[in-house]
Amino acid sequence: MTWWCVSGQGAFSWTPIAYPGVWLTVIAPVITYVLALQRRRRDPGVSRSDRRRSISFFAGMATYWIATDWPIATLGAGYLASMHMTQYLLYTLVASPLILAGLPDWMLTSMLRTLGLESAWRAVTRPLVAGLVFNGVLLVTHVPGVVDTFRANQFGSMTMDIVWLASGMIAWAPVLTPRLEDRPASAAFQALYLFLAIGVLPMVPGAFITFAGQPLYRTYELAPRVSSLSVLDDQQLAGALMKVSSMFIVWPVMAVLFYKAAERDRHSVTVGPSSEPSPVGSSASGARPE
Amino acid sequence: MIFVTTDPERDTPVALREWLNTFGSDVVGLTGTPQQIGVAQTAAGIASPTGTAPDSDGGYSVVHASQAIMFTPDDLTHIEYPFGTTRADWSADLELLSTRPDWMRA
Repeated sequence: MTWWCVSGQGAFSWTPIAYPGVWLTVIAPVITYVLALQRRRRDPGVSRSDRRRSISFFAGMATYWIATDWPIATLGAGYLASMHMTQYLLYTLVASPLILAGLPDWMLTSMLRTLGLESAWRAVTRPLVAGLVFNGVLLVTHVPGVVDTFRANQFGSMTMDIVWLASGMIAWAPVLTPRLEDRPASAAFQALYLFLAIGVLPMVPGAFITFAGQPLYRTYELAPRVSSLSVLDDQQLAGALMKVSSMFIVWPVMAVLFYKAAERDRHSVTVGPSSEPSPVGSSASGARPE
Repeated sequence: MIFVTTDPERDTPVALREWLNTFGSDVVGLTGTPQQIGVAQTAAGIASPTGTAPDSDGGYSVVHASQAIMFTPDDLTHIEYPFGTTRADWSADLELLSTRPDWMRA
């Protein structure tokens, strides 16, 4: 029984493969999330904000599942560099922000306190540190020797996937953390951070992969071919994905940040300073204006 | 680089070309009758391939040699590369092999 996607499995087949370890990492957080929400809902009513958060969380977990299960993860672990990159992008640009945005502040705080990680979380989600961690993980986990070694065994492959997801959550925390005290106040600063940390810096290794004249990853070079895509074409596609994909997410998020900041400014001018939302939110449920 | 099929029935010239293009358009593919291929394998000292029984869809696997045999300018083979040799290894080795005086044409 293979419980996590791994390289070296012979020719690729379109017959689905079961990965129980992957299912466990999907089911356990979802059940925990639902139970925690149910316990919480016994006291106050459920606000619209909570429902939006739940949708975001489940969408994030669904994306995580798609990226970690057959066929994407199978292809990414052992056959195609472009699928490996697709997995990375799904984790860091889609699943991570959706999951993070789907956690209510009380749930994230409770999780961090239970795990004893609250101060560590606060430290690594400072914009400069978060940017360095995200890009450091990106660099290290795309070094050929690291990919070839980690993808060759199930534990290594799982570690890589979990580290990607965690690095994505850290990267998005300065913009999306539900713990408002951890967020930089300025929308302009958040946008600049996103642009540099997630939008621009990944272009450098992306360019290196795109323009490499030789196959970089032994795993994908020696894998049985899945399609007519040559090893180098596949690698160039992977590099191009790394270079440009983030912009399709980062630019719209930056636009939303500026729009919301403008809306807040307009609201505060219209209503007056006495009705301005406090830094910790002003709605009945305690939810903050998003 | 020259690739010789061990399954001429399935590796038609068109199928062979299409597959080899995934490695590079300059890789030459060779095929022939099973007898011709058998003679070539014996001459090169390669074990004969064995096929598995066809499955319900008629598909089957062929277990065959996968090493690359390097012929040097003296028309002899002094070195074989097992499966797992990467393009970077070839690039580094080919330069060295082409300059060995004892493997040059007499």
